Amino acid sequence: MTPAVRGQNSRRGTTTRARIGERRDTTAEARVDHPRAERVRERRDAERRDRDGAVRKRVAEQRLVRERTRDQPRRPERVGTDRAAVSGRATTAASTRTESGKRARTSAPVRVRADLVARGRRLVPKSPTGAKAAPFVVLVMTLLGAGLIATLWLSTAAAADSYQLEGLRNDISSLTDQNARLRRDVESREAAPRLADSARDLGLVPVDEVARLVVNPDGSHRLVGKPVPVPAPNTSPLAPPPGAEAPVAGARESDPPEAQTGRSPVENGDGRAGHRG
Amino acid sequence: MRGPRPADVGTNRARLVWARVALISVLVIVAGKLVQIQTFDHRRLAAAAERQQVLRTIEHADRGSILDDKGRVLAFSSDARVLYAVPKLIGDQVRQADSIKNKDVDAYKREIAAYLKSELGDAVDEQEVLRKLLGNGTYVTLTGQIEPGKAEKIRAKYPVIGSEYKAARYYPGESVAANIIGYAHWRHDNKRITGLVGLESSRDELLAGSNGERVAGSARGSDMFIPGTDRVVEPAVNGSDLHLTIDADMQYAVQNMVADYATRAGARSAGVVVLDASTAQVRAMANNVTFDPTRFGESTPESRANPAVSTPFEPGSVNKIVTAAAGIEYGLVKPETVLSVPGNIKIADRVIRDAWNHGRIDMTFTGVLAQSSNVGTLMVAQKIGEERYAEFLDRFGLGTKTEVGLPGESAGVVPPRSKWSGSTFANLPIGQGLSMTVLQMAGMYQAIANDGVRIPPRVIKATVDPEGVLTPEPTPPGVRVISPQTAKTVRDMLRSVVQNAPGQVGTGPQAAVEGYQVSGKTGTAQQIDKECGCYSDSKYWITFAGVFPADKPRYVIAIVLDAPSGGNRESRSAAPLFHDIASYLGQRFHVPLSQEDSPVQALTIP
Repeated sequence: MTPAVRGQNSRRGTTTRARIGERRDTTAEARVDHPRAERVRERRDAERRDRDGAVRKRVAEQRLVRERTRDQPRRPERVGTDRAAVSGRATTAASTRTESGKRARTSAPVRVRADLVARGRRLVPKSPTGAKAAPFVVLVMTLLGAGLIATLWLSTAAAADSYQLEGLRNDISSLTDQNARLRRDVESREAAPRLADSARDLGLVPVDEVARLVVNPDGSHRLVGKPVPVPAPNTSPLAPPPGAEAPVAGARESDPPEAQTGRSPVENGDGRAGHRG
Repeated sequence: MRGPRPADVGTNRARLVWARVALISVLVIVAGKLVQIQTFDHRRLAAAAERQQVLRTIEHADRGSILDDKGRVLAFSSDARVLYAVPKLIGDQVRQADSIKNKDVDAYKREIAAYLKSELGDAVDEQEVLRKLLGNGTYVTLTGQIEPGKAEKIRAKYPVIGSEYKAARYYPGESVAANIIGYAHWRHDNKRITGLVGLESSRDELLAGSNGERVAGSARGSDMFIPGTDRVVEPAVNGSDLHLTIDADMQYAVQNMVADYATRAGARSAGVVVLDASTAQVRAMANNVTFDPTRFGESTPESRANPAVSTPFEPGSVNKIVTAAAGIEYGLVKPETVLSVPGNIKIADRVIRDAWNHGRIDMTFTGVLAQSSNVGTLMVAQKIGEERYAEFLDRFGLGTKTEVGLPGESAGVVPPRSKWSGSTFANLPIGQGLSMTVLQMAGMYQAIANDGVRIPPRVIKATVDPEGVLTPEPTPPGVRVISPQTAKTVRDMLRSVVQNAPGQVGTGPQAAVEGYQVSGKTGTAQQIDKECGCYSDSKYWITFAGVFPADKPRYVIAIVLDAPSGGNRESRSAAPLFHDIASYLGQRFHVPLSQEDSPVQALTIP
């Protein structure tokens, strides 16, 4: 029988392993009491005790190194309990059945391949497997997860911000409208026609002739112009009766106009505002 | 060595050939189509694709404002919306929308009309809106311009109503300076506010700026666009602001005074220009008739014109300032030089009389001006001579445009020296036979107000670009007309025009203002009677121009009345209007009183 079958037996961990001579298959190796067999047996015990697969891993690596350094087919050895064999139990069983027929006419390289296949070994160097691979997988999964979360969070934030943005835009637009409306209002009220109307409504009257008091340097004053009461407008009920006003005083220093004391006449109005009411 | 070909191999080979031919022809067809699409139809297809994919909207530029000398706004723009609807589609949209409970289309339209009325109040007529909605139009505008905020609110409630951008132009001063500012309105074809009259029109390019463009990826050629794809391809460039030299309050007061005076005088038209004495900036320019830009539809072409710069007239005796200036400048006469003035004078084939009949009297040159003696003026003009007189007319800016900055300006008419006949020189010194605008007339008197340097008047002070950078308009170069001493002498002489001493009365004592020295000149020019082609005896241009105050000039005021017919004080002279305007200026702008009153000057020697 093939070593693979043997491997199966040994993997099951049956007591057959311990018993020499009671093996089912009858390979030459089994019958020979080889010092190597001794080593194999020891190794098998170690493997059986080995729980975390470190021994198995070491054994498999040693085998791989040996294979690479040799260039001729070895005698079929007993199958090691490497991971490929463990995982590929079914396939190796299948392949051994097919390979057994082929063994008779294989040439040397083919036999190597058959050996490798029989041992359940892959033809390419191993990739990280088992415990060594787990961190990498976790890392990749973590990265993907983080990316996904980040994307979700960003788009949620963007959506939330866009609501806020919309709200602010609406605020801006309504405030702009209000601003424009107020500006229109102010400009129209500030303009001369509306001012004149407002002044008229307040009872103010435009003045034609203005009399002025000129203050001389020595403090005395003289009257320039003739104070004439302004005729009251007919419509305004608040207008003071004619003739009751004091003359408007637009006192003036001899030099700059800014030194004028007294009330300066507003456009179309004068101190008569004080008489209202 | 091949034997005869078996029959099946031969047909095989033929089939191969035909297959090859077929494949090659397909290839050729495809290649040809490719060439056609890529080279010949490329532009058309690219344009069609762009129409489908790209939505182009206009980025509207804000129009610049127009402000007065003190920064008060006379014209400005604001965004607005116009609501429209497509009544045919409203029915479909109503039926499709789930949010509308009552699927009765007419009731829905009534609801819309009622809501518009409640939101917009007087700006909209509910019945009119309802009529439009119930009609069958493809596109109806439902409102005039409304605020963007209100438009958004209405659209949020009734998405079937569309809103379109429109800019609105406001004139807070209404008719104040309307003859200068003009009028601008929204033009649908330009998609911007465009000027129609006045500065809004002549400086339209500066005020308007230029619209930009925004593109966005659109969904299959519809109105919706893919969010996030819009970008501004060309930013809008806002318009620049115009700062005028006009003082809005003065303009308002002068406009009212001139309109009032023209009505009382029964004048066909009247115009006033007030210049700043030292800078020749136009502080006020008013005609008796103007329009209200806020009621543009009611205006007539006459009311929209600006005769103050566009319509020249014969100035009459106001032009005697040229003779006075030249006479003093060339040392031919002095203010106190006594002339023996007859009642008339013959020049070439013309006999010129004075306005009042008199024999030979002794008048000072000051008196010749104060009493506006034509004969005395012509005597001095003869001494000046035609060449020098023509040159002085030119120096005073007559016959040339002032380039004030307003559209439609007239240069007036001065007959060229080469075309003068003998009688030309009999007319020009007394202000007939030449024409000028009231702006040019003010410009003449600005020369004597500014110590002999005449500066062409300007109405635009500065422009402010969209970034806020103020660029003052360049000051025009002054023209040295007369020496400063001559200017002062002439100014002092002309104080006698408003003199009212017993026996020494000038022609314009009504122009005097208590407390101030005033220089000025009255004028009465005959208008051409079209029927006889001669000067009329009944229609006159009544003019007045003066400097206020005469001792420290601040303002130059020029007035013209066209054919006043009232038969009253106002129709005979423009001096009272000068008094009103000068008195207002003295109060409003706190012009200091003159230190002394004008001295009484001798006009006639008894």
